[in-house]
Amino acid sequence: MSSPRNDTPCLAQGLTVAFGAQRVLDDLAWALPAGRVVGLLGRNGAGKTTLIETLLGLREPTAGHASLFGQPSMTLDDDARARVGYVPQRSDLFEWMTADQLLAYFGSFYPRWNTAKVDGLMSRWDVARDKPIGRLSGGQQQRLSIIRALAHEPELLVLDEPVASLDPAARRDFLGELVDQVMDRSTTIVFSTHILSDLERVALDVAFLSGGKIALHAPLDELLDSSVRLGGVPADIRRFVGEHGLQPISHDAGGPVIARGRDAAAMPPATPTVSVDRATLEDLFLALTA
Amino acid sequence: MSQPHPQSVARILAAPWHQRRNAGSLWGVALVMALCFAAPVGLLAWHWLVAAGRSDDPLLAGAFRSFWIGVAALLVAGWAMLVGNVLQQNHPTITRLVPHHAGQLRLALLVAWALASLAAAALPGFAFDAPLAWACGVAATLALLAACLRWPLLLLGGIVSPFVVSWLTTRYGPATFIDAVWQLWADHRALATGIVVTAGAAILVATVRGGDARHLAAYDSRQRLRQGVMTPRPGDGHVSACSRYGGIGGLAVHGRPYAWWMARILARRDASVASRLLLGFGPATHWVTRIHESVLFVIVSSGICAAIVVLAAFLGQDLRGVLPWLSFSLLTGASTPALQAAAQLHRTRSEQALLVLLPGVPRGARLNRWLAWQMSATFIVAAMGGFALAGALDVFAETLTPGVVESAAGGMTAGIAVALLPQVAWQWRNWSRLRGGSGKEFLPSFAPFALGGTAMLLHLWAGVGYMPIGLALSAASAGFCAWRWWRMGSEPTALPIGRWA
Repeated sequence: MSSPRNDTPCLAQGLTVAFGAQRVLDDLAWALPAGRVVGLLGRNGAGKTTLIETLLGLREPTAGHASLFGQPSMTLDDDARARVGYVPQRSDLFEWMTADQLLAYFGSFYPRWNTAKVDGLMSRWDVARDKPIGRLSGGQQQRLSIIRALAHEPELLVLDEPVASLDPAARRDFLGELVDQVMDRSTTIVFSTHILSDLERVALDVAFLSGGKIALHAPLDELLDSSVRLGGVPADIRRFVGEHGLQPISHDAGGPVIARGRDAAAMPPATPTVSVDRATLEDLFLALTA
Repeated sequence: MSQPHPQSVARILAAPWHQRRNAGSLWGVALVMALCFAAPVGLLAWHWLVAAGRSDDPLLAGAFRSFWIGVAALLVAGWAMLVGNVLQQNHPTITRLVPHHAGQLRLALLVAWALASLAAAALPGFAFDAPLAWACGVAATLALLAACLRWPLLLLGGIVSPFVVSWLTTRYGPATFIDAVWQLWADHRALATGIVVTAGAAILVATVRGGDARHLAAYDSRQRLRQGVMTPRPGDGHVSACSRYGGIGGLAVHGRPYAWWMARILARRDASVASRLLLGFGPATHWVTRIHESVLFVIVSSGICAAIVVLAAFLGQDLRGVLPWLSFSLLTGASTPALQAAAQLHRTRSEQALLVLLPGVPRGARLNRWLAWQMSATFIVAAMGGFALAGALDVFAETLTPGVVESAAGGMTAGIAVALLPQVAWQWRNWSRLRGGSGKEFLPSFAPFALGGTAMLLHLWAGVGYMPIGLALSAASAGFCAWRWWRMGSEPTALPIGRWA
């Protein structure tokens, strides 16, 4: 396996973050491929935000290191920082500014600022320009936060639960914008969310965070095509898994077993004792983040 | 079928009087206690060092006096905290919905009041051979304090009362006035006790409201008033400092100069990174807000000075002795917000996470040191402004009545003055480890008083001049800052503040 190149948008090696005795990230290794949309999935408290903050250099790791575009996250130069966009979980930031002031403020720092794109999104997403951010609705604040992160046309866009406050229509608009961003500029996007249907709509890859590690990072389509849900008596399922060379992901004795095959296209046929269905993203989420 | 109460609600209903505890660690309480007793312990230690075994040593008498002052301060602080908590729990809706809520709150107040009064009778009462007088005095004081917290307009009476006492003592002579009060007490002891007990209990009962329509209306009108003050007028074109970021209570007026400055900086494409970065920290820590607050403070203080001089002229009395006290207030008032600015930085740490990702914003040692210099400059300018104002007021007071500064305030302003500049050390923190909302953050605000009080005691009782004390403290502070400057070179990046705490 070849080692990641220096321009890998985001790379983590042996990343460990501990709060006291609790290790939130534990020797985590992860490389984000360029030009991909990666959905970061994990249960509440799994450490998604901690991982994102550590990758961006906002939090010191206890051990290991993270880098963006080949530079250590803690000491990014101006050029690397101009290539990164970040939407934090909280969107009620800079409450004392108006939307226009916020955009002017951030625009003054970046060498490139797409005013036409900002104006277009502001009117299309109906964000009040002259109202203090503190008085915008949660959805409007979140839209503004996304516009701010997109305006300098970053090469790496990191979004921490960006759609939590958006209604379905706004979510659809936002996802469309993400797709455009990837199509037009080959932007690498990583976003954490709990809304799996959104993720299925835009993500090319999914990464599951569990036990402080990336339990699995794979192309979404390939993962869904190669994963099956097996139902039946445990002994029959075990025999079935062995016969078809499947790799079990979950070992829940009481419920269905999720397993991955070697060949994405081929789905083993059901038998009288074992039922076989395509696994959904929800099945995989439950199995991989248990 | 009705839903059973969730466990948390059931617990609240089962214990409706459950006291709200102050959030955070016990550091704040420990700190207040330490500060209350720092002076007596220090004086006692000084006594043992320089005059052990001498019972007529003024240091010993000072330690004794300052111990009782510490006890009184502790009692008042504890009582104010209790009453504040009770008033916070006395929300009209909770009071209406939770059975016996108001009754239990009243009971809590009355029991604490009675215990404090009994403690006063038992400790200083027997020590000074007047238990009933001490119990009544403490009971009356605590009841009045509770009333002032419940009806803040009564605080005006608290402001006026020193003037009235000053006027009375000037007119009749201090000894005569105190004798008259004691005589009145001796003649009508039972009646006075009855009045204090009845009126005090009535005040405490009235302090807690019953959740009726009037309570709700009063609560609503207070909320409207607060919102009205905090919200800018439509069409102002400026944005208020929101309560989360505001310097003094989030008053809308405090956001306007900051908003003006922000508009000015945003309009200039060539504005420096430092000036833009400071904007991102929010209004509370910005030097424009500090200047604005100081100007407002000076205007209010000047008005009070003028009123005192006019009042003195009108009454034909010498109330000008109050001016040195005002100069002390000016000095501390001008510098305290700047001392709290470091803690205010913590409020915008989520914004700071975005700021450090901006191109051009320094990182590492450069950012750590820049932030320290920035905060130091703001503090030093504020402190120097306070010095200038306090000095001017002292000179004015001396012009009116020579010698009044020393006789009225005992050189207190000078004591604080020498203790103030060394506080610049607080601006050289390990920013990434700075905790917000911790009791330890009281320390910068209290430190000038503790250090200033110690300097004053050293000056008054040990005869050490203010100049050597100031020089020694400044040298220690400068040494500390230099050491921190060096340490900052290897510390994590300052922003977001407290992320490593």
